[in-house]
Amino acid sequence: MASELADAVGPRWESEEIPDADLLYMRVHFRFVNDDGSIQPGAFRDQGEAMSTDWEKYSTPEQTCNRLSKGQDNAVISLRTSGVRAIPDQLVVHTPDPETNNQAHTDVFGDKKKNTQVRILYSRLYELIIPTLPESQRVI
Amino acid sequence: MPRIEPLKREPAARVPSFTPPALSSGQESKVLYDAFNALRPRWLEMNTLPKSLERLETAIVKSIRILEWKDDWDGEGSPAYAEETWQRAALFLVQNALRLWRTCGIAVDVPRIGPGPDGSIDIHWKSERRELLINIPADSRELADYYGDGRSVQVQMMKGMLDTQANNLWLLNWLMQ
Repeated sequence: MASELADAVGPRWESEEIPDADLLYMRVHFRFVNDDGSIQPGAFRDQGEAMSTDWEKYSTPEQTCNRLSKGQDNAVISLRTSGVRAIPDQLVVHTPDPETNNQAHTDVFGDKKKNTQVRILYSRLYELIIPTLPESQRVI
Repeated sequence: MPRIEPLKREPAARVPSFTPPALSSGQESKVLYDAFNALRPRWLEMNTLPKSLERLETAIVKSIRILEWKDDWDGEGSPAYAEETWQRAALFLVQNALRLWRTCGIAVDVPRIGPGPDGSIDIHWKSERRELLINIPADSRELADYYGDGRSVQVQMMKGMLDTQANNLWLLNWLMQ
């Protein structure tokens, strides 16, 4: 009975403190990829209230890539948590998401839309983990 | 049906995307003609760019592709881009590139014109010397946000908001130093 109830409401995960040394993985749509494979600053944006990432403790880059149905449309980059925390007004919070069964889910709060400096700093921080073809090299 | 005169351009080669639509008889042709004429003043402004700014013109023409993207173009809920936002970005670039060319004889580097957050458009320059990002917001009443700095510590960081309709020669001048 208890286990059936637990299944119905989904797993309950505690939010944990993410160490500075750990990586956050993030999907990047191919339309944010330049012809030389670099990532445009526009990729670093909030979806809703925060920028959505996955903590490496509970996710692989491949899992992050394939959380959406069209995994081939996305590159995956990594961001060092300490680097994210060094960007002005950015806050890293582990926010596991039972609805999508994603214990790795981590929100990065802090304005990006009206802060071009923040997006430039993100674009200097990332490392490309899984590349994808830019729009100009795709066959439609 | 009135005849559309070919656009005059000197001395650079024509960009195919700016060619007037071929007219035939019928209502569809009239709609095309009206649409083209509505945009004509802006096409003409772009079509008078000097040859040294040809690459900039090509980049602007290429960037119009983002207007074809529908809502949720990234599978994560991003909205479509408005033609008004793209035109604001294009005019900002054309007007200030021309000012820089005419005033200082400098052809501005070619930026990347791409998707910004929430229907806004990013104009991004990144060179060995300096980096500059200007964000044209989706709301035409809002000022554009910009940030620039350089690889050298001697380069002063630039940050603030700007009116895209004003003379922003100083910003492109800073970029090209």
